[in-house]
Amino acid sequence: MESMIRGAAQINQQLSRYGVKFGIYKNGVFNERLFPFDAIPRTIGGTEWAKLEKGLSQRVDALNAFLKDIYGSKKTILKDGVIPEDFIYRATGYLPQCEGFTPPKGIYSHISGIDLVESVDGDWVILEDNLRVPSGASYPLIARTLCRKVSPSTFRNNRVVDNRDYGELLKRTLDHVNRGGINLIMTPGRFNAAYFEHSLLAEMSGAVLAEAGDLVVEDNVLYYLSGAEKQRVGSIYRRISDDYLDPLYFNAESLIGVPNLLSAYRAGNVAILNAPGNGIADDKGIYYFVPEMVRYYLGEEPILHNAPTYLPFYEKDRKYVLEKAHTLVIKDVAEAGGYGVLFGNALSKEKLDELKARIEAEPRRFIAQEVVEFKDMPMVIEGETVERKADFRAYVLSGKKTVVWKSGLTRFTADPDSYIVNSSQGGGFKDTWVMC
Amino acid sequence: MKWYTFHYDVFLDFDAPVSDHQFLLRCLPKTCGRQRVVRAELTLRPYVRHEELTDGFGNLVQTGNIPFGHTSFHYTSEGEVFISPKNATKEALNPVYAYPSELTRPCGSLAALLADVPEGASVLEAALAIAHRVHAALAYEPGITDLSTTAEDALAAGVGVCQDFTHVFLALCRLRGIPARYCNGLLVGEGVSHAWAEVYDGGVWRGVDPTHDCAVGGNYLLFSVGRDYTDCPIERGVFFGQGGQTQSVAAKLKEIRAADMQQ
Repeated sequence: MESMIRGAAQINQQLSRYGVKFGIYKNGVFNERLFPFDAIPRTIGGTEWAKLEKGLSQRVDALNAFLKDIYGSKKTILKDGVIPEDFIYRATGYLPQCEGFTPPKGIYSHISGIDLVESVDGDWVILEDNLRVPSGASYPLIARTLCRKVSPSTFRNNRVVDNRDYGELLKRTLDHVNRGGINLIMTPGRFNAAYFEHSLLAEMSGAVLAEAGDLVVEDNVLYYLSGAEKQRVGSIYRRISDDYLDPLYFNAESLIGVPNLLSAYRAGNVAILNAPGNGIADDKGIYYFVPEMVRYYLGEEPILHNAPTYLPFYEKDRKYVLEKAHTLVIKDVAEAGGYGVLFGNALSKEKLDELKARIEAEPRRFIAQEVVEFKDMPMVIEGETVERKADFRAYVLSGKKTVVWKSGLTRFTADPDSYIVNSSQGGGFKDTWVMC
Repeated sequence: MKWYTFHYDVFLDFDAPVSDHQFLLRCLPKTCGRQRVVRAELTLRPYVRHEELTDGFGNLVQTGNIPFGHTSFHYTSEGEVFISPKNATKEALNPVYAYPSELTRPCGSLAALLADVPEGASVLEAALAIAHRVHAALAYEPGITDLSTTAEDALAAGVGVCQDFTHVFLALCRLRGIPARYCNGLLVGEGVSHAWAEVYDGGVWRGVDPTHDCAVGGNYLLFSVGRDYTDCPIERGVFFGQGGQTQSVAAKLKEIRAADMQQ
């Protein structure tokens, strides 16, 4: 492993050559920056992984059942009072355009990115579910490939599960719901920060990489235009958000969407991965209810736990949150990507009072969580080994079976005092080794 | 129950040829609520095929594309329907209609309009009282508001068209706790399409027209419903081309009387 750590600079140089970047908005300006790689991997032992795998599959199965229920005609989880209606119909992620239709094979979230942290007691705690367009799988993929080149001996001496099967897993997921035709990955274009990832995933899964201009809907069937030829598309893994997907149903100004794509989808002629409307299941307010979903839909106890979370919507919780606001993390459910996350202990008295007043005025908009003390991880910065907070994104693929990719993205903060580990907020990444 | 013919013609004219024109229409009625469709047909010029499906709000949607260059798009929806003045068809409520939408967000000035709507009123009484207040608060004046005007903005301007009257009405009903939805369609005596609202009253949708300050009777034909205008426009399109477009509309909903038949 020493040789790999020594080779880190070389690996980072390669990453920048490949265009492995991350795009961030800061003060309203869009910037791309390199996503620095740290060579010390996160390692997860076989027994520990088995438990994670079970817990993650269980969670994603429950989330899929929830989406099917909410967009279906029954909506039993609302009728049974497990989730208050307000949390669905006031959430921005809920799309009524997706009512009255079940996607192919009833799967909504095909590729889920579940964010966890390892607490100081060694428990894995779920921080967030990402069921819309979870990115980042390409980072550990490319990093592993480069590490193998720089230091082949590391992988001879350590029993690391090969992670290069991601393309195959993705292909199987696309094939499972394919409605006849090719598999395709749709990118907003080469100026998108994740274009590198889109092209890598297309190559690895054998799918065609296309932009909106390469696609056309005719008679409610989606076609890929390659030269004079038209190829029918059976599965589309779209890497653009719902709002931009189809200007005839959603944002009319969208230039990166395909008009009538939703018509082709609702006609049953193409599978869209992930399904439009999934945003309701990874809403920050809905997060609170996921353990209940596991019990409700699967009749099982959740294997993995949420961070202790309070909903000011409930009076009992509101009292606690207002009392303990200075010790809690408070999140605005309408914001994503690490924005709208406030640490009570870092706020001045005025700011804290202001926040409390907002919680009282609009309790449904907020959730509050206990600060999870998560493990620091070692990393090398300018030749020194230092400790930083890191989280972990696991990729769960739902096809014929629900499987967890035996790798994942470990992200760390650059700022030694920060707990927010989100690529949008700076920081870098590590490889994740699952050991056999 | 009365028997009607309907005819809805829209001409879109482009200054310069456009192509790759993807369209989505909601201009055919379906059997629901107060109406029974006898016959409903869509004709398109240029002649192209179209597909039909149901959208998330339960509306019939006609889709298609015109790949080649064209300078006009003309669609005609035409047929016969039976309409009864009262709706007795029970329907489950999609809870989404109880919540604010983008164009019907509540605000202080909207809430103030609700102040003297009687507390003990039935759903329909309350809805009619709200329609009356909306009618008093807005003057009918075309050309000032547009398709993206919110209920709040229309109320502040004090003017609008049927769409704005309906948005203000919907915002108020939802604030009051009455589920309500936006309606597009035709009205006897109107030469263009019309917008009104429906409120959910014990399992049945009842029509209220805030623009005309009245309950909806047998002379309204429904094409589409949604939370607000954005969900269910009669026509939406995307095409390649430059230059402007003009639209002209001819709508007619007319009762067929026994006397007419004998002639």
